[in-house]
Amino acid sequence: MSRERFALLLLVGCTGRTATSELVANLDVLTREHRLEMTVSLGIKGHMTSLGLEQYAIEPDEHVSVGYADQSVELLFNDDPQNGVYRPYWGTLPLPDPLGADEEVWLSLDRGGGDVTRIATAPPPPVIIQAPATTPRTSDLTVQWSPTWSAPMTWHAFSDATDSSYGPIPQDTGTLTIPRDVVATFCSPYGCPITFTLEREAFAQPDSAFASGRIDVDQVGYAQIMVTP
Amino acid sequence: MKYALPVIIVSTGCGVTTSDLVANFEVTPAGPHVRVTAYLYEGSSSSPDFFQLEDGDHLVAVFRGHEQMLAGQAGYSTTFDLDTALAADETMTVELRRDSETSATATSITIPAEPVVAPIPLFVSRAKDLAISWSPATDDKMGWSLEALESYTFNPLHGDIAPGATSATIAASSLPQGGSTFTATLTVRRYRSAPVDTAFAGGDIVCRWSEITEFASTP
Repeated sequence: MSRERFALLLLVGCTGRTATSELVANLDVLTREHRLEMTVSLGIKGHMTSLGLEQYAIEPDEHVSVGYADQSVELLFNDDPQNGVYRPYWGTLPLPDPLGADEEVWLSLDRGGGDVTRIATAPPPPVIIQAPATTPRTSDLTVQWSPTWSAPMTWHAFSDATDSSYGPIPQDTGTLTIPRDVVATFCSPYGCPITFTLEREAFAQPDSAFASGRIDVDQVGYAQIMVTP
Repeated sequence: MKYALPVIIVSTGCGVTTSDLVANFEVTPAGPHVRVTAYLYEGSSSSPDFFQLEDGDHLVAVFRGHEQMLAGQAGYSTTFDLDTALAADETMTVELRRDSETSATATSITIPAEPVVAPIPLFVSRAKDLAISWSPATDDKMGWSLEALESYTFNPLHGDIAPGATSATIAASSLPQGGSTFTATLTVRRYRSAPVDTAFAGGDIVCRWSEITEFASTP
């Protein structure tokens, strides 16, 4: 092969690969009980589809990784919606303890040859809930948590008996009292176990070689409460 | 063929005259900022196209003696950071300055007083009427909307508010009864509009306050 022909093929090959500066990178992090769910999208700037930005599918020699502390996982491209949810790159990591505010979460795109672009941010503080193990459905339910932080929060009460209930916490004061008439709707008159969660969300847009990069971190605290008749 | 004409216009450098443009300007106060957004259209009213600023065109917002350029692609915008709180009836002006065509610099609006909504309890039952109030009263147009974006059982509601009013009631009979507790978002809007500079083919400038309150809507 002549040098000119090889150079031409190389040029054609390069033009098929979207430049990092044309990629819009998003990392969504959700803390579950004992695991982290991490969803990444790599949109191509300016290429809109009915589902949002057209997604960049990595080449065989490229790698998308996410992680925190000393944990990391490589994510593969997936263009097949699962249960109606489209998650181009998705993976989980074990989370034995709540994600600490000093445990940076990060996304890395390795394009080979040392071309690595990384975005990272510190998560908001974890939500450590103090809630009663049991509560009568005829009483107000007071839940406390720590530490407090600057962002609004949301609460959810899940049970197998009824639809989940949820509401806003506009001011994070570290305490929430749910009125008894609301507690009564969590279960049938016979009571039930509920999973109570508190969620705080933070996002960052770190500077990087991407066209833009955004990291959303949802810190969720969990408590199991038995609602009694 | 449908798209040939705009391509020829751009490539030959022929400008679109100001009298062929429809301009919609939005002025949105929020906290310590005021955002100005501009949308320019050309073409017929049935199939307008976004107009992209041409060389020598500039959109400029003027507020409290300061000028800021609007930037963007389809929608152009800029945000003023406020040193002091807005007073009622301060004036925002939006100018289209054009080197090669007629400029349109006489579009302005006065910003109405913010409708400060009285706090709503964190838990509000749908079995009772929801009373909302605000101050001060003005003669501007107002409206409210109530939404629950994550609820499958709640269809958005909205209503007009009579000029001069300082309260409104959302009847329990208009709300879905029963079910579980969910987050509801109440928005109270106050807005004022004015026509744009007569150099444009048409359009208006609107200033809109949106006061948003979230609460838990209980059965």
